[in-house]
Amino acid sequence: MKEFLNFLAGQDPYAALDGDDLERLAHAVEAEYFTAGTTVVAEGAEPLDHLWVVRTGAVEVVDRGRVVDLLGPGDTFGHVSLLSGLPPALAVRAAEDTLCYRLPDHRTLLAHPERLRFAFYGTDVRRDRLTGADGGFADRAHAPVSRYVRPVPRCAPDLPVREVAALISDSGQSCALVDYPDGVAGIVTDNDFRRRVGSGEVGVDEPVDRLVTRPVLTVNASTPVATAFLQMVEHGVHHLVAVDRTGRPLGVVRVVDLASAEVRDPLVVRAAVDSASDLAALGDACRLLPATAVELWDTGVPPERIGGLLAAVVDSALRRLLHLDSAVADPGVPASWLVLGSLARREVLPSSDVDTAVVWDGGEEAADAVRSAASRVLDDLESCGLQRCADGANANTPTFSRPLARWRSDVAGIVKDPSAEGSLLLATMLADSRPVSEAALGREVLDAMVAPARSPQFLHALLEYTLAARPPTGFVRDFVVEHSGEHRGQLNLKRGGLRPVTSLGRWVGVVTGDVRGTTPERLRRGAADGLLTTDEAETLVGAYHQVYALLLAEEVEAIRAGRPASTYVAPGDLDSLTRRHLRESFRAIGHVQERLESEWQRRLG
Amino acid sequence: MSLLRRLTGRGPGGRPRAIPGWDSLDLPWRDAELAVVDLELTGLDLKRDEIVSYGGVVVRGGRVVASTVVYGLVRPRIPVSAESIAIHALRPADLEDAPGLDVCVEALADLLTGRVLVAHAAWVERAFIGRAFAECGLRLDGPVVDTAALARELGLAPRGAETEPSLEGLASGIGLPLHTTHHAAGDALTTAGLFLALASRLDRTEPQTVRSLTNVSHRQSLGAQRRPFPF
Repeated sequence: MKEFLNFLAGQDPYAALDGDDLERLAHAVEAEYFTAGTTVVAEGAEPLDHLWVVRTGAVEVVDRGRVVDLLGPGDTFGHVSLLSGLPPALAVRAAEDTLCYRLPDHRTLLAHPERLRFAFYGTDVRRDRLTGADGGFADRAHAPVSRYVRPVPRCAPDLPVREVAALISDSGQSCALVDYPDGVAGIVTDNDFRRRVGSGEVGVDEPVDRLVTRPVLTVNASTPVATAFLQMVEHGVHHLVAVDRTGRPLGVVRVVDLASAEVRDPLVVRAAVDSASDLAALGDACRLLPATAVELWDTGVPPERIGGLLAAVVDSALRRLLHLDSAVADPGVPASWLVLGSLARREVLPSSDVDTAVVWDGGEEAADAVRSAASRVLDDLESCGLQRCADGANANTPTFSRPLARWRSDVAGIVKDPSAEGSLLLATMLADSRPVSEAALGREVLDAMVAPARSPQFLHALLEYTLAARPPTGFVRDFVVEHSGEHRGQLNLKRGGLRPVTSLGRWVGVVTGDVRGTTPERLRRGAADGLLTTDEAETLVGAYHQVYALLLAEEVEAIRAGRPASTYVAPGDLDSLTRRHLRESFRAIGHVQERLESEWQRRLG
Repeated sequence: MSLLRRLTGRGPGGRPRAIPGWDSLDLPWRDAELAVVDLELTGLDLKRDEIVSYGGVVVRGGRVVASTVVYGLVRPRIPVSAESIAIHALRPADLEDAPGLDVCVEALADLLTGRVLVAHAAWVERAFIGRAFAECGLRLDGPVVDTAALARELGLAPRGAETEPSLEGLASGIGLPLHTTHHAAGDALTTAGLFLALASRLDRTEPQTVRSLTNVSHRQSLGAQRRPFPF
C-alpha cells in the first residue's frame, strides 16, 4: 500500500491532501494494465464514476480520430467527465503499455475533497513536440487566439438545465453560451454543473439561468495565445469567450486547447527528463533548462510562474536520477529525499543550487550506505549540470542525512530548546523542505517540525532569527547603506531583498503550523490568520515579486551572454523608477519587521 | 475451531470441503476473480518449514483492488532460519505474539474461496498453503496461475533455466512499480501488477481464459522438478 501512498503523495493535486485523506485514497486505488493501443476511455461513453492517474507508460487523448495530447506518469484524466457528469468528450487510449491507477469519486470518499484542485490544462506534452516538429515556441505563442476558437451551442436563459446538459454533450463541447435579450451573453460550463447541479443546489428542471455566469470574461480574437492563456490562469477560468471587434461572441477558447497547443515548453523538458533511460539522456534534458527559462521570459510568462515551472523540472530530474541510480547505489533501507530552500518553495532561479536532505527508515548502522548512495546521486546530479548546495546542505553530509527516529528526536529537541548552536538554522531549513521520493516517510520530518509542542523560547528565538535578515537601510545613487559595512556601493538583491521576505513567510508558516506553498502564499495565509495585516502581506508580496523579477532578469541576461549570474547590482545601473520602487520596498519590509519586533516581543515576553 | 467449521461448511461426515475455483475456468481472465498470494517462510523445506507471514490481494474485473489487501503474521512452531530472517527481516521476537496457523488458514480460505490462486513461482505457495489447509481439515484444490511460468512463456525469463526469475527483476524490467519488497503484502501487490501485465501481453497473441493461463502455468512450471528457489 505504501507504493500507492507515496506515488499519490508525490503528485499534484493529490499532494495537497492531509495524511488521512491520502490513506483513504491509496486504499481505494484499483490498478489496471493496458497494452499499447487499448482504449481506456471511449468517446461518448457513459459518464465516468471514477478518474484515472497514469502510473507508468503513456496514454493519448484522441479527439475525433486525431491525437491531441499525450499524458505521462502522474497525469490525471477522466476527471472532467466525473466532475461534470457528462459523457467523456475525448477518447483516451494507451500509447504504450501502461499501468493506470483508478480512483473513485473523491467527493464522497474524502473528508476534504475541496483540497483536490484539478488542473484543466495539462501538465503533459505531445511527444511530437519533443522532436521539435512544429515551429518555435515564441512564434506559436504569439499567434492569435482565433485559431483555437470553438463554436459552442447557444441557448436561451429559460431552457431547463437538463436540456442544456444534453445540448452540450451532443455537441462534444464543455460549455454553452446563453443569449440574453439585452445582448450581454452568459456562459455555463461543465464546472457549473459539477459545483451546483452535482451538489443538488440547482435542480435539473430549473432554468439554466440559475447556473449562468454573466457577464463573461472575453478576449479579442486577435489577442496572442500566450496572453489569453495567462488571462485564464490568472482568473482561474477554463474558458474565455472570444469576441470580434464589435464585441459579438464568436465561440469559446478552452484552456486545454491552448495548453496542449502552445504554452508548454518547460514540459517538453519535463517529458524528456521523465523518459531519460540513462544518465547521458538525463543530462541532455537538464541542459535544456537555462534556454527554457530564457524562452519563458521572452514570451512574457510572469517571473514567479517561471520559478514554479523550473522547480517542477528539477523535481522530476532528481526523481529520475534516484530511479536510475537505485540500481547502482542502493542505500539498502527505505529512504526519502527532501529538497530544501527555494526549490522546496518552488521559487528557484536558473542558477539555484539543489539543496537536499535525506531521511531513512532504519538504524544508525545504515548511515554509511545511505550517505555513499547519496554521494553518488549528487555526483550524477552535477554531471547533469545541476549544482549541489555550495554551503553544504547536501544529503550525503551527517547534518542532512539522519534516520527518521533521530530526525524526530532532534527536531523535537530544537522546538523545545533552540539554544544549541545551529539549531535555528536547521529549523528554518527544515521549514522549507519538501519530499520528492518516498513522500510519506519524508513528510514525517516536517510534521515533527510543525508539531504543536513548540516552546515559547523557540518561537521567540525564531522571530529574532527571522528579523536578523535586514534589508539595506537605503541607497543614494551609487551608495548603498547597509546594516553591515560590506560591499558598500553594491546591492546584494538576494540577501538584502529576497531573504528578509522569504524569512517572514517562513516564520508565518512555522507559527501557523502550515509551511506549504510559496512565499506569497505563506504571507497571504499570515494575513488571513492575523499575523500580518492585509496591507503588510500585500506590501511584502509586492516587494518579493519585484526583487525576484530583478534577479531573474539578471539571470536571463547572464544566460544569453554566457556569463555567470550575479546577485549584486549597482544601484546606478537601475533606472530611476526601479530604484525608487526598490527603495520603497526596502523601507516597507523594514517597517513590517519593526512592527513585529515590538509587538511580538511583548506578546511572547 | 467452530469459526473454521462455519467458514468451510464442513459436512456432517466431516469430509473436508474443497475450496472451489473451477467454476471460472472458461471465463476470460478479466471476468474471473483471482487471489494473488505471497508467503514468507521459515525456509523452503516443505516437510519441515512453516509460514511466517502471508499477504494477498484480489484481482477483479482485470484490476488489482487495493482495498482487498490482507496481511498477517503467523507464529511458527519451529525456529526461523538465519537465512530466511535475512530475506524477510521477521525476527523470532516479531513473531512471538502472532496468532497461530488457524487464523492464517481462515484468512487465506476466505481470500481463495471462489477465486483462482495466482502466485510467483506458485508451486511454493501452493505446497505450503496446501499443507496448512490440510492441517486444518481443508483442501486446496483449484486452478493455479504462476507468474514466473507466464514470464517464461513470453520469453521474459530463460526457459529451461534451473532457477525461478526474481519477482523484482521481472517487474522492474517491464517498468512496473515495486511495492515493499520481501514483505508478503508488498510482494503480493507486485505479483498482482506483474500478473496483469503478463496476462495482458499474452492476450495479444490470443485472448486468454483462466484455463489457458492455467495450462501455460502448468507447462512452464519448474515446480515439478523442485528446482532451488532463489529469493
